[in-house]
Amino acid sequence: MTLSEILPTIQSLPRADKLRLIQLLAADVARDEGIALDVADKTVPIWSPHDSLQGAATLLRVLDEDKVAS
Amino acid sequence: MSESQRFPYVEIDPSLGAASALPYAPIALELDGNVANVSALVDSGAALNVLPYDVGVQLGAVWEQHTIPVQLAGNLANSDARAILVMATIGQFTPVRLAFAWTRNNQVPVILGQVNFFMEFDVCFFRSQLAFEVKPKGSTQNS
Repeated sequence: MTLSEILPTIQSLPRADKLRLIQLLAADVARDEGIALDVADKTVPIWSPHDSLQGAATLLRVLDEDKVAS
Repeated sequence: MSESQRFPYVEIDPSLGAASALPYAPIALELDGNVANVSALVDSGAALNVLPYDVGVQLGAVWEQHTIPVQLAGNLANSDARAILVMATIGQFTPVRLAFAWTRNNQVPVILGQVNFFMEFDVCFFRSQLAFEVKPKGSTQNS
């Protein structure tokens, strides 16, 4: 398979997947070359809703209301 | 049924090895007879449980029928979320009712957070062993 064959598929990927592909390829090449990548600039999405306390209160209320109803 | 169950950490990026190992647990979600078997991130730092949109759809949930908004923070703040209750089975334990913030976002994993996963289960992390243990609240037996 050639680059020209897979390029249209790559170009149709969502932006997040393109970034992921770049990261995977960079890590792959670096590993082959024995290069330690500097991960200091690597962007890692953090999805943890660690401070969604208002939302947590809403869910507790829904649970309590469901418990009363059932 | 009250004994703890041990789960391995999962390396989500083979190129990063143990650096990418996270506590993912296999869990079966059920809503109105529809079941979704998913791998969920056990996140003690998350204030609440989060359900990505497609998993909710897989469970047969209809967005318009869930009207209670849930305010999320961080990266998820820009996505609408609504409260949804589902039955969840982890390991061999008795199913429990979990409340999720069902978000329109699909970039997030299923997250098991303080409300109410950690209110139903006691969890002990052994990161040095790349494992964690889960047991239902109130159980006293050790595995």
